[in-house]
Amino acid sequence: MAKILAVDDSASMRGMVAFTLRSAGYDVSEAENGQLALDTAAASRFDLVLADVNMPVMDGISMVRELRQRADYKGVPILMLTTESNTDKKMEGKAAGATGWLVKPFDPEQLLATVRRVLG
Amino acid sequence: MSTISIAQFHKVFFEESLEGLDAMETALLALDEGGNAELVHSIFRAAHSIKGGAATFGFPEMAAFTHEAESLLDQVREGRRAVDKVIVELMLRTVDCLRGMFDRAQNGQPLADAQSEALKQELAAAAGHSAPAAASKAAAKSTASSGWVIQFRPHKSMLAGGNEPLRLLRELAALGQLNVEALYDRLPVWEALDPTECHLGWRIELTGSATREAIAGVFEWVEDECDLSVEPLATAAAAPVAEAVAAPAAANAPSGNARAAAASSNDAGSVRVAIDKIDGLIDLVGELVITQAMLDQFREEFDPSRLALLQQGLAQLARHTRSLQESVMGIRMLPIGSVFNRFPRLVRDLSQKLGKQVKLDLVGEHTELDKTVLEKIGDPLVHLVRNAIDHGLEIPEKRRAAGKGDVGTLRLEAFHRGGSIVVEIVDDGAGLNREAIIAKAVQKGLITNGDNITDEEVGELIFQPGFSTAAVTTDLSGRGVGMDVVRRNVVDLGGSVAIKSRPGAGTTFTITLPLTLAIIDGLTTSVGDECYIVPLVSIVESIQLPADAVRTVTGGGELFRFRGEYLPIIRLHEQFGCANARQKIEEGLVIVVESDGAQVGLFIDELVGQQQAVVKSLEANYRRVDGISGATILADGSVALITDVAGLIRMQSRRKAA
Repeated sequence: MAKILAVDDSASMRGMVAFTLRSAGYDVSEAENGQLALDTAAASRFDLVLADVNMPVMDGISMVRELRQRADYKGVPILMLTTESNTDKKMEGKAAGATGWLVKPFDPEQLLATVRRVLG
Repeated sequence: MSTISIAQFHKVFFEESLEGLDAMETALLALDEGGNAELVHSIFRAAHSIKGGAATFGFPEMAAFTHEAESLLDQVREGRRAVDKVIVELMLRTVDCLRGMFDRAQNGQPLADAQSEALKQELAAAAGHSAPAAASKAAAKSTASSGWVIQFRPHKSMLAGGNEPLRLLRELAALGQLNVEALYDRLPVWEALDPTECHLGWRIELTGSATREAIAGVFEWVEDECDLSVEPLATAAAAPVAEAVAAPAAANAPSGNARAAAASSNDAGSVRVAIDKIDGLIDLVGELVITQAMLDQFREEFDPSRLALLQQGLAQLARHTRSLQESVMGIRMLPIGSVFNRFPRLVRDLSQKLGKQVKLDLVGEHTELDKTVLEKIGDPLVHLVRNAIDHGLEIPEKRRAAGKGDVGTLRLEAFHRGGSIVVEIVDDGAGLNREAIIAKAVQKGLITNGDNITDEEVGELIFQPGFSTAAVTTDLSGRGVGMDVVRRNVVDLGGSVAIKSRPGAGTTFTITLPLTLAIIDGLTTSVGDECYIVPLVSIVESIQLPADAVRTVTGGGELFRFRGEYLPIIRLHEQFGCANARQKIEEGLVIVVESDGAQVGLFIDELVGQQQAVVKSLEANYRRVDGISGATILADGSVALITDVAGLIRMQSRRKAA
């Protein structure tokens, strides 16, 4: 099953994302900030990365920018989990190399629909 | 996936949000003292997380409220607005308001109230716009057509960004009938072809009732990575169709009942434990298993020549058991910082209200206390801190007159001393007002006159029930609880409170607390056929008295002289009705015990030994017994009762009064 990396500093949000995806059979790893996500992504390759924007230590935008530099993450879908108020963040994320975004709030069904859409 | 209930994440959401609010408050207070950009970022992040979580987990009112705070913080973050007192004040109130909302959320009550609505408007006004009172989105207009012609030419780099044209075509196919034509006019020659780049384009005819918005939705992520045109298939435009747009959050909101049910399941107390504590435990259990395996060798046959090995194994077992016990107890230990954290805010608000300048020093926040003790020590500490600011520290003019700096200092310090935790509340204020206290005590009938009263006794007076020196009770300290309640709360935790004061130099309250309530170090004593455990912390000395050392006073009480004072004797066998106990004072022992500065002698038969006792509740297993704080199981399996020294002393003084 596809491997997904969920990155969010909020334990509840990360928990919801991970639980939902695991329930659907995906192999989910979690990271609570951009730096830890980069470390995790270096240890094994993921088929999809879901990343929050606002995080301490390293934010989601910087994380995407660094991840895209890595040869094995070229073409891997990376979605930003962003809030509607941050419309400019969507474009900032895209410029950094994100594939797309999922607008918060989302519910488990919306999350799964988006993930299935990307992973096919 | 309707089986996934969003409510199961509420508990984590509440916990992390309340922590976030604490952090936000701390950062706001630091900002008030002149902060940096990182503080502003952390405040913004906390608000942002709460907003996102509130919207996701079905609390739209909270999301809307926090959204306004976030907008204002965003302006500060981006430097469009300076940090000033007004903003800090507003944000502190926002923190309070959110705490209230979380409180109501946990109880399944409606979140918004008049206060939160007013504050929301205030935040919006401060941010320079008006907040929508209710979510009312204008219905978006859509156009439909019998079909569309889509020209889609991805930029070369699109694949690298993770967007796959095939996926987009599949999604379009879900909207209606597709007729796709590939455009390969930009395909380079074989030698120049880079397979990681996208060179193809497509002309797509989509027939069906798909709206332009639906198509735009498919291409939403790649708008900036392709050339896209969408034209109606037929020249005749179809009639516009209005689409109802429901407020997205409303769909997520669970019913009030569901929330209440979720809240009620959160009641069981939980402790968050650091991973290294758990790792330590696992290590210890591993050691224990090894020791057990080693001792197991002796089960089959025992060769006396291996006695040394057996002894070694048993010693190892004892050591590991002890370490394991300590580690397990450590799980319940939490840093006192979580209680100290509430004080910067309290001190700030209080000192502003009273026109005093107070600098708060927190020392030893990492000192760990049992969770139960920690939960119950908050209120007494709040009271003492209020008291120190209200009565102890002076206004700047008075301080200047007394030759001190304008700013008073209040220090909260926690540290280990012996087997106890000590918390000190130290102020450099005026100290106790001896005359006022004595006058008040005389007026209240606590003492007859103020002659020959030591400073220590004056300090003791303020712990008497119903005592309050402030001529007019302010709304700060005068909340119906006095220092007597503070002392009772601390004593109930197995601790004590002492006061030290120097006129003009300040007051120090010292709270001594046991490390844990679950285990006590005790002296096992025998009284007739029974065993009683006396907590080591309350023992002053054990002495054997000659028969003539005891004076009998009218009313049947017995007294003996100890370090220049006469102390009453409590005969435990009489107190608890034990058979076969020694009656003559010279045949037994008297243990001098102390609680809250009062001392008595407990008469017992003899000392058995010192041991750690795991406290079992008597109330839970039997019923409450005066003078007994709990029970424990002895090594031989019998039950011993643990004496409640404070309770015994209280009973003794009641008997004296009667």
